[in-house]
Amino acid sequence: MISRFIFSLVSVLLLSSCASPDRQSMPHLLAMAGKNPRPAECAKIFPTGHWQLSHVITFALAGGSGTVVGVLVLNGEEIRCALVSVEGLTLFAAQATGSSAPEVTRALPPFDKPGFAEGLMRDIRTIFSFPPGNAEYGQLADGAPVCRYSGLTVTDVLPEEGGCWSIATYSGQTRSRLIRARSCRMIGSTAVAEELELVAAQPAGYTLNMQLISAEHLPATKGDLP
Amino acid sequence: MCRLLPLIVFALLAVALLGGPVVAESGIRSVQADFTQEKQMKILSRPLLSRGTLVFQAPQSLRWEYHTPLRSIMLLHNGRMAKMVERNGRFEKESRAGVSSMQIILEEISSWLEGRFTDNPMFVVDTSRERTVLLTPKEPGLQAIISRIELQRGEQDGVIDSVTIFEGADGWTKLTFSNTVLNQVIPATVFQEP
Repeated sequence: MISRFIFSLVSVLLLSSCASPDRQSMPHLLAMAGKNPRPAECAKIFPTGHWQLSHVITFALAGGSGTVVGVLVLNGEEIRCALVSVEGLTLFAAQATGSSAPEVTRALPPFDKPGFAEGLMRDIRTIFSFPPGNAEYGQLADGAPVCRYSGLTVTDVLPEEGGCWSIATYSGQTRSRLIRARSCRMIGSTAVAEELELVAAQPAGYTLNMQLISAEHLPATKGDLP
Repeated sequence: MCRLLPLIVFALLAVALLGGPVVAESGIRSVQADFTQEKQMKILSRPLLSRGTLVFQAPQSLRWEYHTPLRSIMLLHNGRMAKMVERNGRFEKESRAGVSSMQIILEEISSWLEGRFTDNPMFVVDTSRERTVLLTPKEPGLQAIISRIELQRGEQDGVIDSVTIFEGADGWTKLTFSNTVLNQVIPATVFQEP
């Protein structure tokens, strides 16, 4: 059971890291005279400082579903993460600083597959780290305000009324990932989502759902950036 | 190693169950208890906490249920195993475990319940300490995942207070049991899928 689940989860995460599973094209960014989203509206969705977050992660594929607990510790540019079975067994643990390659401290097969740790870190950065690249502000054709960050990839952050948001990433002109946040609440100056959904629609389409268990803004440590 | 994973999870459950409220005392017919699961890892500033209940009916019926943070139920009954996870307010069945893994663990459970710790094929068992039973994996593959398991006996005969599963230097999981009730009649419906 667990091995099948792990295999499926690995497949999901590897798929998310190596393809453009959604066929939607990058929309044009339109000027939004006088009503551009303020940078702070987009920045507030990315935690800064020292945080510990845990989620119940559920995935659904055509071939089955599974559940694992994801643990994430953010401390400035440092990311530490782990995947734990519901029964408490650590399946995977790794850490990385900035854009450096992850250092894997525990990886039970098949989590030791090449590319898995990198793909997982890339997903974590997409959801929780402020996107690199040049920033532009405007709106989409439907009037939705958007902050667009253009670097190696393009990341659109779409703040919504009610304090939630969406993120869309594009490789070239094709959308690679869509993340929707629901039931958001402010913890300090950060908008924390009770539920995150990552949807990809590649031929082996999948949905990754993250239910927040806990989010704690921890006291600063020596490792914190100012 | 992949084949080992289901076995490990069920081994942990078996150890927790056995070690849970019941120890190697013959004559145990049933066990009910609450448990708190504390998961600590080097990377964590605060531990992960889970809570649940377990119900055991001799010879081979088990309901291992987490209430928080995620409702899930593992059932062993009449030689069959099922695991369900609550999603959107209803329980959904997860993939079934291999029959061979389950049978091995059930044999483990039966063996331990009958007090045959030394017959255990998976662990070296050290009972030399007064209140601590120490289990060390025999197989190198399992040793890489679990370095040792400690069962702390309680004051009451036949009851264990806690089980700590060490994963090496970087983490451990501690199950602490409370409100243990022995040998009460348990309805068969407890072991049926919700």
